[in-house]
Amino acid sequence: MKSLRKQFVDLIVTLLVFIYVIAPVAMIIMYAFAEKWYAWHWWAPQKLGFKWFKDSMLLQEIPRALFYSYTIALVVTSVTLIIAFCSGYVLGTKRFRGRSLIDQIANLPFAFPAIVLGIALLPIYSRIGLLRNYWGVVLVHMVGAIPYTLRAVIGSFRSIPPELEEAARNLGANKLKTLYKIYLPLTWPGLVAGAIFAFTWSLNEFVLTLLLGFPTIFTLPVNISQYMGEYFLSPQRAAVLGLFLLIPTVALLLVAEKYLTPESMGGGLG
Amino acid sequence: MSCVGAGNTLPPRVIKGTAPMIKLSVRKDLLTDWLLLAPLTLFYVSMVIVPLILIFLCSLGLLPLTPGLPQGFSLEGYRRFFFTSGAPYLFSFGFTFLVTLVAALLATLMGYTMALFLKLRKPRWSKLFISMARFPLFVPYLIASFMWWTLLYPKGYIPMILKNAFGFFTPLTNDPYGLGIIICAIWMKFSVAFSIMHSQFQMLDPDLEAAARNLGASTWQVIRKIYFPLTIYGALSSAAAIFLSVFIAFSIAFVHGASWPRFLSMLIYRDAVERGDWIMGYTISVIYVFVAFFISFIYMKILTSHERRRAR
Repeated sequence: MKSLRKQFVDLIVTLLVFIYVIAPVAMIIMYAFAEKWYAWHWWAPQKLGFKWFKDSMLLQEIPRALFYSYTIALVVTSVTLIIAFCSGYVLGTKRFRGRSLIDQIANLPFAFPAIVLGIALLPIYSRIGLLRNYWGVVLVHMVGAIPYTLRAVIGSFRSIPPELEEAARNLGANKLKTLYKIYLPLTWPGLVAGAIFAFTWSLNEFVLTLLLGFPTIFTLPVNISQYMGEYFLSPQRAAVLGLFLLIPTVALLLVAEKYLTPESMGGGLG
Repeated sequence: MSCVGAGNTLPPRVIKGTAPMIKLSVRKDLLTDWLLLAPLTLFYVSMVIVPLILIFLCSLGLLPLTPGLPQGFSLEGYRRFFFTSGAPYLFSFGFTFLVTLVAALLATLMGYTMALFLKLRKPRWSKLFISMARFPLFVPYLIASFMWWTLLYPKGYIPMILKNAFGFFTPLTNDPYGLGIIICAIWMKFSVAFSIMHSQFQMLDPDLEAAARNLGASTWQVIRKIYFPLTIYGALSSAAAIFLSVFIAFSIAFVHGASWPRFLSMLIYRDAVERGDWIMGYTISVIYVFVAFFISFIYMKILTSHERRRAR
């Protein structure tokens, strides 16, 4: 049994961690709901309400940014899943020469500064007509989304005993049928987790959209940056948009964590 | 392969005429595997490898992809990076490196201490503690940067508390020392170190600590002689991973980045996009990528030696 003093110390430390983690989140919630907040009363807003939410939805650019953010994320997720499922099968279940090279190429974006990719693609996009184009933004979002999805999917493939595939092949199933009938139903937790990674990645991608999509294609993160001093300062509006991104992202990633098996995490860690 | 039938085992053999069929099937399988890999490979070659080669060639003036680049081989960009009087680019590079290093070390230390606290004290609220400590992992970079900006900007809580309680004001964001970047990066990244170290502490054999305790070791001796040597690789790998992710980050520097000296990612943005100085944009990019790859190489080395050590 712990002494009362030790329990008190434990409680204090836990509380400090709680405050440290929650304080910044509490701030944007306060900014989003603060209708009146005078400088002389800096410690708390004088009136709370939904004024900034209503105000933001009335602006033409914000519903458009919401539309672009969520539709681009959906398209990126779908295409990323198809690519990750096909290549995850080969990378997760086969041993062949060149496998580690492909694996490393797929891991490159983890160590690749997004700004460098952006300025490298800028003149290329401009020449091939993808600059400020919806599909150009989709493609560039996939660069960052695929590695995370692939890690989760490879982990799922690795956790499946290879005897299952052998049995299916011995019974006459071809590779595509094996993928569809055996692997697809067994790898779905990894696929769900991978889909969530891809979706949240695309939803929160900022610099590449700013460089390659803006001003024609603008997503929520780009809009937030505009309200943070790039064009003019409106922390309340930025906070509202921040909540539109933060709440779905945290909720989805918590779901992803539930679906991620230790094997998928192993795949994730390479 | 052996055939089993009617109670007797026959020696392995290939039925006449099946060998070419097996070969054909193996080739078809291989071809299917490569076809399944083709979209990923083609995508990354065209979206990552080719642009990487192009920026390298552009930085040497070998490919006039954008206006203002030298026509023909030139080391002008590298000369300006390393030898401009006052060395502004090198200064920015050093600033970026130092700020990232401080943030990575402090975030690792914080994550390590919290994991150690959990291991030693096993508090009643450990579930809440773990959830809280892992929360920043789920927060997007730009949002986390903005959240900290609301706390650190001159009218934010922290400067106001400092001003009202201690009577002094110091800029905590867009400051010349990168304090905003460091504070924000620590919050965003201590969770990485905590998650890695927490799982490392979970994996430690409890008998080791029990044996040391039986021999009369104090808590400090257990930490120093048992926990620390067994978790040092985990701490190093988390420090390297945090360093890399802060080093290549754009959003933190975009929101908190000092106007001077600039964080390297912001310097590229300014030179290439705002000033149209593409030669410098490409040159800094090449150096940036080279350093980032070198850090990831070190990270992989630490992970490999850790794996080898665990296998032993």
